[in-house]
Amino acid sequence: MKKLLGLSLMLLTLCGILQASEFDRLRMMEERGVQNADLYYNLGVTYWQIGQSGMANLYFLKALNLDSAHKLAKENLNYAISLSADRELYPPKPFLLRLFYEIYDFMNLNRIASLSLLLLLLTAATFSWLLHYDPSKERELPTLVFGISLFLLLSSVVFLSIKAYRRAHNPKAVLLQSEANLRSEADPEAQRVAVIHEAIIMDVLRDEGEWSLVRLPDGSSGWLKSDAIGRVIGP
Amino acid sequence: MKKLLCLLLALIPIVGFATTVTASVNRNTLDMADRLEYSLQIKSESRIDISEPAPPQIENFSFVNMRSKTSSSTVIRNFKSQSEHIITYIYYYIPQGPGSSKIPAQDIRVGTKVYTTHEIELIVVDSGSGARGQNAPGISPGFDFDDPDLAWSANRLAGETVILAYPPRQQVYRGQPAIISYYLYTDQMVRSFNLEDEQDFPGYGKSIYDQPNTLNYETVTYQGKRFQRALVKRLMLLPNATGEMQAPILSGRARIYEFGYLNQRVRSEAAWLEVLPLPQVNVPPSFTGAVGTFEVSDDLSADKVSLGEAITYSLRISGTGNFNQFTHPDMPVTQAQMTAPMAIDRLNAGVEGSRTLHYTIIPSERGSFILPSLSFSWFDPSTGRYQTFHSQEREIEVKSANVISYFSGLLETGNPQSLRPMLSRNSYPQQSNFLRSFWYWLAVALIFASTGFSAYLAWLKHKARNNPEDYARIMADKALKKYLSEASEAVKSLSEDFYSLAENGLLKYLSDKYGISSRLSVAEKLDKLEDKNLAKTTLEETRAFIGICEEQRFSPQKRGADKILEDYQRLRRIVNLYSKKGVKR
Repeated sequence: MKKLLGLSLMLLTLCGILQASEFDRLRMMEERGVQNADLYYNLGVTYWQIGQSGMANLYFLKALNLDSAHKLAKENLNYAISLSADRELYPPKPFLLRLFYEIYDFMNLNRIASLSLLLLLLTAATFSWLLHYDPSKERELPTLVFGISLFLLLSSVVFLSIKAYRRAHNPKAVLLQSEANLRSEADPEAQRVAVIHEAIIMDVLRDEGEWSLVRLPDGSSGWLKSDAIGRVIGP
Repeated sequence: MKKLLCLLLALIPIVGFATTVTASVNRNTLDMADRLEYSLQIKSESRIDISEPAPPQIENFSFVNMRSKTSSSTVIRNFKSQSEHIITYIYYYIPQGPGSSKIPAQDIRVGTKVYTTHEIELIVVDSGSGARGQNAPGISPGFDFDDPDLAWSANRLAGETVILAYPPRQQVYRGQPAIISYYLYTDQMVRSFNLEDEQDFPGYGKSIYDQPNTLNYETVTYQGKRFQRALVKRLMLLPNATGEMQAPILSGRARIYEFGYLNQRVRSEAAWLEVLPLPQVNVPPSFTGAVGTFEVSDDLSADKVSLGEAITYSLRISGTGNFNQFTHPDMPVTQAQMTAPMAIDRLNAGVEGSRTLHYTIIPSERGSFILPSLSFSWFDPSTGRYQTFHSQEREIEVKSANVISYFSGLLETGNPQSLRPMLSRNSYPQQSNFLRSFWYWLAVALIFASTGFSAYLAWLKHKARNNPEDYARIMADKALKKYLSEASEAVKSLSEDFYSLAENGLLKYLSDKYGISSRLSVAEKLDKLEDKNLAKTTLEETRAFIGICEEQRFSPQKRGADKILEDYQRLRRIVNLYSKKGVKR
């Protein structure tokens, strides 16, 4: 019995050491500048396991910023939100909006870039078809096909531009402190608007000195000390 | 005279080597809660040679501690450096009772000299008499290395440090959380406490309710004596048997500062729980073991749904009790699918806070059905009675399924009930970004280029169809550029080489255009052209021009410049004829 207990303790210790060393390896890779969605996801899981929910959410968001179709990062982020102290602040989304976001997230930057290329090829082909079409025949069909493919191409390019812009200028941030006061002005003595808790996700609207104007998921906004939050993009 | 003055000046520093000894107190009138600070200050311009003076015996006062401080300073005055050395000895006393006292005069030996201090009168009054000195300091919470402003015992070396468990005895019901606080009581300078052991006894489960990282002292009176008290640990015990049971005993080491550090083993006093059984009468059928003081509320996300959609019924239980020892109430629904409730806790030590149970209900039939009343019972120790919460019955209207509701379940997979594990990866390559890839943009460029080329071809087709003359000119220009560029250059210099170059270029053009072998002779090539069903005039023109070329190649008589230009125009016309669509008969 004692031997079994000893063996279990050894295994547990070994697991702890392995986990610690894996965490260090992941941290080291990140510090070397590696940008990889799986790396960020694994860092997020590790931070969650050591009880840092704010850092966990930040890394899940970083993973989703690189690859919005990262299913596991999205699921873990939803799970973390469902357990967070401020979960009531996240408004429920209607079905159609959720469906739209599902599609929007599924089409990550590389997928939408590939789709755009395919649509460009299709548009070019239908354009050539239209140009070389026998003038003695009715041109409605090639015109319609070309029009549709051109519309799809333009939509896809707009979509791609938005995605690329949001990836480079993602305003999302996460509160890393256990609790913080949201104030009406960038002043520690200003009126308190709300008390928010660790891991809440917010949009940074503006920076002013040591303060940031942020918008919470429920739409309310206020000022917060910049060093209290971790940003998906930036310092 | 001058020599005398210099001698006097030289003697000044020696004469100025004065030493002063001053005795003072922080106040002359004290009350019983005050502490006396008796200071001896020795000031000298030379180094002070002194051994530590013994604390004076003061009648009606008890000596508790002393400390000393030393300072030195040097200033330059009149081009000479002057030093000042100060040693201060501070003795702390506490009054033993009201009355008058005197600090006797002391003989202080500094070097070879002896200095005598003056007597100081002291008056001690009762704490309640209101004669407290104006500068009386308050009792400082917590310890400071240099601040011995503690609740001192009369003899600190024989001070007391104990751990007391509070309450020492309490009566609880079985399953009712009982909180035991362990405090360190001391009248010594305990700088840290290291908890080493926790002895458990049968009959309870336990968890840590509170455990501060630092000793935050407060001043209290215990058994008529003043102590500093700090919380060491607060345990939450959940009794699982009835009768008398002993609370855990904590033991550890206190690190006490006593002119150096010493460790003292400390063990908590025994504390007892008297655990009563839960009443066996009037036990509600929905009682599942919850004991505590609770507030219960419920909520339904919607009362109108479409088939296939889900609604959530939430039951919120908040307060203090054995949250982890009761089972969740069942929701008896038959006309809908019901999931096991998902519990979201916001609890401290598993006993204080709230638990929200979320029941997901998916109706399986159209129409309306009643969500039955749910009951949750608990035993409330504060009243000694069982309490029951009955939720209201609610009517839920279920409409026909719509297109959207068929798909609503598809999106629920993104809300897991547990954290997804880490991914197993041996390496983490840099995330690819197609928009920064050379190949992506090369593909885009190729598509644009091929579209442009296709558009050009279409334009040529359009020209050939709508404006054959123009098309022929363009194509002739191309042919001339490709096959007859050398001949065109010869024309510019009015060279006789024009004819040989024009003949070769024209025949090569025709061979390429009509697939005639280049190995054939000129005559054979012209014969082959006959088979190509070309316009008669075109063939005649060609034969005539080739004839002129042949002739000029072998004729000694050279044609003039105007003839060369005329023949060049003829060549252009022939190429134009071949470039025209519909050149065939």
